[in-house]
Amino acid sequence: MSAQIKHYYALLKHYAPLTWHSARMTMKNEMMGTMGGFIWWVLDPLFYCMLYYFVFDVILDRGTDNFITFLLLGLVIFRWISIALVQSATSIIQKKQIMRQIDVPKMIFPIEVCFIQLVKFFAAFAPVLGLLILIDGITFSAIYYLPIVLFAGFVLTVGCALVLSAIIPFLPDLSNVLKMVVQALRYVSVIFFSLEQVPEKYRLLIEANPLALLIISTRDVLMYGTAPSTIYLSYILAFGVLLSFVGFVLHKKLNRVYPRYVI
Amino acid sequence: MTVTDQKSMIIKDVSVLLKTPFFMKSKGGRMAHWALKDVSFSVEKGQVFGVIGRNGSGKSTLLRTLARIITPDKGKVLTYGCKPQLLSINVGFRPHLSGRDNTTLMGLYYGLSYKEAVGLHDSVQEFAELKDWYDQPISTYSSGMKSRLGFAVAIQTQADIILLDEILSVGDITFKEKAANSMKQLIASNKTVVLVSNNPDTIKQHCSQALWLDNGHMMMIDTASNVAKAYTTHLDKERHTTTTKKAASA
Repeated sequence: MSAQIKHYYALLKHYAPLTWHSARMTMKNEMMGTMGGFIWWVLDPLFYCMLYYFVFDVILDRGTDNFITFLLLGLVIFRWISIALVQSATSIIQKKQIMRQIDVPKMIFPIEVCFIQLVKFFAAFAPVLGLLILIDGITFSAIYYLPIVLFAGFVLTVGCALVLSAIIPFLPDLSNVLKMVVQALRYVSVIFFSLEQVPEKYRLLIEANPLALLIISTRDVLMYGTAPSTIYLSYILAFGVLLSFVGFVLHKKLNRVYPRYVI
Repeated sequence: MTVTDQKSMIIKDVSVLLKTPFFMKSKGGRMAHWALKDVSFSVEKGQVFGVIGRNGSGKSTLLRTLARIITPDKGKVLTYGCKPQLLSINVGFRPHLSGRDNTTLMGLYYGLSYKEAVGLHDSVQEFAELKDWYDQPISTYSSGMKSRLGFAVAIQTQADIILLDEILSVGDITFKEKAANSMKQLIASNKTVVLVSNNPDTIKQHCSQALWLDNGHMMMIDTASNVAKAYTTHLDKERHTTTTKKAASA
């Protein structure tokens, strides 16, 4: 077990520069391909958030006090995690050209996606946060907990990404299932309602979903100005670490099998 | 060329079974095919070893096995701590990035540090004859320019064992000469090279020893000129039989 972890650490350390620079180049490539470049990374999530705000707060008038903060924080976190999951799931298939020419640990591909999505999340989160500060929706008293919450979210994406990317080259149908799961997550991850609104008997079911807990924790910190629940945070972290470990073992085992199957 | 007795790579009874992935639907059931069957040979340090064979004879699978991209189903590849590297001319190219950025990225994939990869810029720009195009996105390059860029980066590899898949046929005649020259330099630098080709002349020109693969099986292993000769004779004979068959059926 400890030997596994040591090996994992050594691999990550050795391939960290390659992963990071490759992520950087991928992002640069994406920006160079359009005239707007970076602007789209900000505009796209802003538009997405505004659309939901318009439907739920303006048209449906579900707006209780500060509903916009409630909604946008949930949306921006959900968007980060869901895009990271969907993109990392097929990351090995998308990098097949590299994989067939060079012997690299395939786990750097999903991790690269997680890096990229983290950067894109910040590009989306900053303007949303700015907007919410402008309308006085943010409480600053517990803001120093925010990095811990976001770190837990990052660990969660890495864990899910490693496992999904390891399995999907062998079960491509699963990527379709994943899209459905992400659709379902949109409605059960307490984006549009709070945990208190859920009937008591279903509450545990919602709380089993780490994404919902991540959204609740973010709201606790930024909206209510309280410390996030330690149990929630440990659950998210444990979930992420456990999946990372499973993903790592799978990747280690299958590393040189992928170039045969992904054609 | 200095050939010592030191072995740099030993390939022992290597077999690779390629199958249609189980999730793919195919008429007449899934195919399973031994792309390589009990292939054994050894390459000495500093030697240029040739592999010849027709399309589908298992040459590329052999190179991929030697590069450790796939592990063989049976047998072993021993490299005595040397690092084998398959040279390719388009590893991870990003179309909207400049030749400069792609050089960095490709260098990183070849195992260089970021600093080393950035250090390649000037020499690659000159070698690939890209001039001002070097800072333009490579999606605007001609295919020849892209191959020249790829070759210029690939040739800088620091691997001890170099695996080549007919990389010599890159660019126009002038560049081909240049490429061949730098290949010779690489060979003279006492690196071990495995060169794969279906052209007997290439094998004869560059290699000392050669292996002839057919349908995954070893047909012959001998000096490069002998193998090239036998291969050519075999091809001629085969062509002759097919033409006579055609003539007979007509």
